[in-house]
Amino acid sequence: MTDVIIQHLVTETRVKIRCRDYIKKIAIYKDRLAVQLPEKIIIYSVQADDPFDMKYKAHKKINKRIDCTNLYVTSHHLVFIFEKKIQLLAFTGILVREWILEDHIKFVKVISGPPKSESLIVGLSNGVVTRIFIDNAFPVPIVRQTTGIQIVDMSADKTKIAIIDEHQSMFVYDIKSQQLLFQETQVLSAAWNLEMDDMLAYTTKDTLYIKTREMPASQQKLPGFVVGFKGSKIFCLSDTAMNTIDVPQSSTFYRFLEKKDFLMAYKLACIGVTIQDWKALGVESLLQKDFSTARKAFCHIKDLPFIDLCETADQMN
Amino acid sequence: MNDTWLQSEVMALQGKFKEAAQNYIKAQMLDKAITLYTQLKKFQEANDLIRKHGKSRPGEGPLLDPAILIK
Repeated sequence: MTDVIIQHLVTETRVKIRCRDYIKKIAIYKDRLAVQLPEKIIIYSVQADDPFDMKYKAHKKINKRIDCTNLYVTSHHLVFIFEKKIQLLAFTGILVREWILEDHIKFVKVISGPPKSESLIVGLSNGVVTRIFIDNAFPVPIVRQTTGIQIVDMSADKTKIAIIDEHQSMFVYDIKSQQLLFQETQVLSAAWNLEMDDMLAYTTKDTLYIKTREMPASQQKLPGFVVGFKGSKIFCLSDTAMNTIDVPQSSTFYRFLEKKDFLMAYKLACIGVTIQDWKALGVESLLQKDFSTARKAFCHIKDLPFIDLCETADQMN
Repeated sequence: MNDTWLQSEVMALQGKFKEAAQNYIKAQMLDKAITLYTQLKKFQEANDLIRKHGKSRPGEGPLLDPAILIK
């Protein structure tokens, strides 16, 4: 009750911070960690240049008692969520900005951005999803639904949004055209890949699905909720344990290779496929005279004779 | 650029020499097939190919063009 444990999901290391007081709320964003205690808020930070550093040091303290429903932190601000209101505080404790929303706030997520102008994505119980840039007083409406919002996630290129409503239906929209791209029922949680656009992982009661673009979703048995998706790693919460699962990309990779979409296949390969898959990509793209992709693929597996052939063929062309 | 050449080169690099040679022969590129085998120092196979697909009859001239062998 008085300790914060931080687990690094990629390296699977853990650190414990002793606060010697009852912890009310915690929030984490990149190199910042905010811990709310009954009478104060402590902001910890780590060295920002090393992604594997786990030495959290107390950075700022705010001696304020704030009764909020949720707490979030960004690079230079704290975000307090109340029933219908969001407050933005600087680390000095001064109120910077305040937004009043039309209905109860159901879901908030910090979307990373340049320091001091990060954004929040907010889902309301009347079905409205808005994006709030913390340096702008006006919320930007994104999608209006008829049912209350449960979970929202935005893709890495910020062009698509996945929404799960209170009836566990998932809707995927293109933000710009407002078009409904994809719909699924009985979904409990969803997360976009942080490194690949157009790759969405979502979980139903006992199955994990991974959908890439318009391809049919690949599935595997997995109890728990997906909470994050980075590269080929899926972070999954089951009961109280956080699991990191490596998902193979080969099956999706071959689908794109069959379609001769070498660019997408190459992107998928970069996330993690076997040497044979790289070779297949290289040969296939070489035969289709996509020399740059072929060359990159063979460079990846350091296949010198093939690189040589790519060069010769490219020159002959 | 020649598609057959590219296909056969890829096959050869994958170790499928026989397929590569057949592919050359299908496209009437006997000299390339012979070069492939001579580079691999598989003279027996090269010779067989010439006997089978070469234009000149035995006794009419050299079976193997010396220029290929010098390379």
